[in-house]
Amino acid sequence: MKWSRLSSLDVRWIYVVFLVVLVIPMFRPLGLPMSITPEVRDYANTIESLPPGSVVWIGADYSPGSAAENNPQLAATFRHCMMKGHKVIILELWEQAPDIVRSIVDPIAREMGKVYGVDYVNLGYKPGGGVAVLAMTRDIKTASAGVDISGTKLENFPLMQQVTALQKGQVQLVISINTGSPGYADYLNYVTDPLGIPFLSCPTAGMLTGQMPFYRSKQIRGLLPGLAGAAQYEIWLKQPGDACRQMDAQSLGHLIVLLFVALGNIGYFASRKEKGGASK
Amino acid sequence: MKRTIPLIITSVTALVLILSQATMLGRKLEIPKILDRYYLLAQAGAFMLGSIGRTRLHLQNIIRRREGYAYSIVLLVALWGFFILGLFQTSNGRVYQWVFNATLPHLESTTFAVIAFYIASAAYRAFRMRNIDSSILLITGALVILGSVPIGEAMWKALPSIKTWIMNVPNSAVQRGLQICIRVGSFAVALRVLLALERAHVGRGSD
Repeated sequence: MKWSRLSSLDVRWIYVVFLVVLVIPMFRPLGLPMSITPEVRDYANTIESLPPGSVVWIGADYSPGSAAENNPQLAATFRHCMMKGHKVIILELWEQAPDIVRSIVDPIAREMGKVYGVDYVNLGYKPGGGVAVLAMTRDIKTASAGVDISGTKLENFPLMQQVTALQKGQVQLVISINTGSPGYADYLNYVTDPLGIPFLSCPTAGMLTGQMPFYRSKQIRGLLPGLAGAAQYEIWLKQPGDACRQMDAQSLGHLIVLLFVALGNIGYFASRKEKGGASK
Repeated sequence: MKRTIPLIITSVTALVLILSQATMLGRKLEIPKILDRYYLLAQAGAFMLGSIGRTRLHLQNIIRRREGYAYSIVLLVALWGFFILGLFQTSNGRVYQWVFNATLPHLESTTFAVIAFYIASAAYRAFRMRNIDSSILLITGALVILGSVPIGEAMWKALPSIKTWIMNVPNSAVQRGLQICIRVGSFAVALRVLLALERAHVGRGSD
């Protein structure tokens, strides 16, 4: 066998193997054990330690492209908040987010017998990114044109009579579920750092590297990195859900990519050896 | 005038914003609150302006039968279809919601799902241990990838700890350096905009 051929495999083989490896665990989960990392533990403990009735602000800033990672994060976070009896206000700075968010939180709220307007409010999409967030710190009504996601006036909701601005004292915790900009940086720069409100973040796995320094400096109290973070959080909550089911596929997907990288390198070194031998 | 007036507006607005945030009078008059409202309205208006500009461009593509004009048709139908539907139903209407949920999330999810395959093949083709630098990158990447998923932990118990160390120490150090440089750069650009030295945003051409 010519080992050098491994460096120039037909990529269609990679696609086929990758597809098979991703699909099988969806139907036959492997149930691999998972330990909970410190950043996920900190995330869960921060929500857990708030007194019941605390107001949690969730910035759900993502689009369908990252929903596979962000949806389980949002679902587990919202469920935990509802279980603890916290009040939740949700804002979306991405125009494609509101419908996804609604499809996640409304069924959970119904299942847990929570009332819209009393236990949670979805402000919907507001344009302006960081400026919209900054405006929320002054007056939520002005910044959101006085209406929620469905166009209902905010003064109709008991929760929004209680919370008039994104300020310390009115909001006890800010959580950003993010995949880019606008997102966590806007909350960090304009809200949580200047006002001293505890902050948690749920980045996609690819965004984790940029947020680790803030976790190290405690500007972010806890992190749920990507699907793996959401899966660990589900285990912490003792409520395995979508994230746990999908982690096996992600595990095998990562392994296969590394396997093909290894094969490519074996082929590369073999071809170098062959060329070296040929030149002698 | 085409460039001078926007430059004056930019500088004056920036100055007013700074003074409104930094002075007692500005805060007392609640100027930041008023400006926020204008900004949000302007942002919403910019969407409409952008839509009109985009429509003109794609109409030209269709009329002149330029290459790929079929995509322009799809874009215009989607853009104005949603707009008209929204006028009648608002974004909470049943049909609006159904059309949105039946199209965009699936299209975007599919696009990103396809990217996963390309990333796999790109990683296979690109990650070669050609020299010390690429070897370090490859080994570090492999440790972080495996340390992030349960199968890595099942293979070697220490992998998650190694991944955590890589993310906490070398990664955080590099990220901090990068972020400080970015902030200094952003401040320099902001200062240039304020002083009307930065002119890229008003375009080229004569006044």
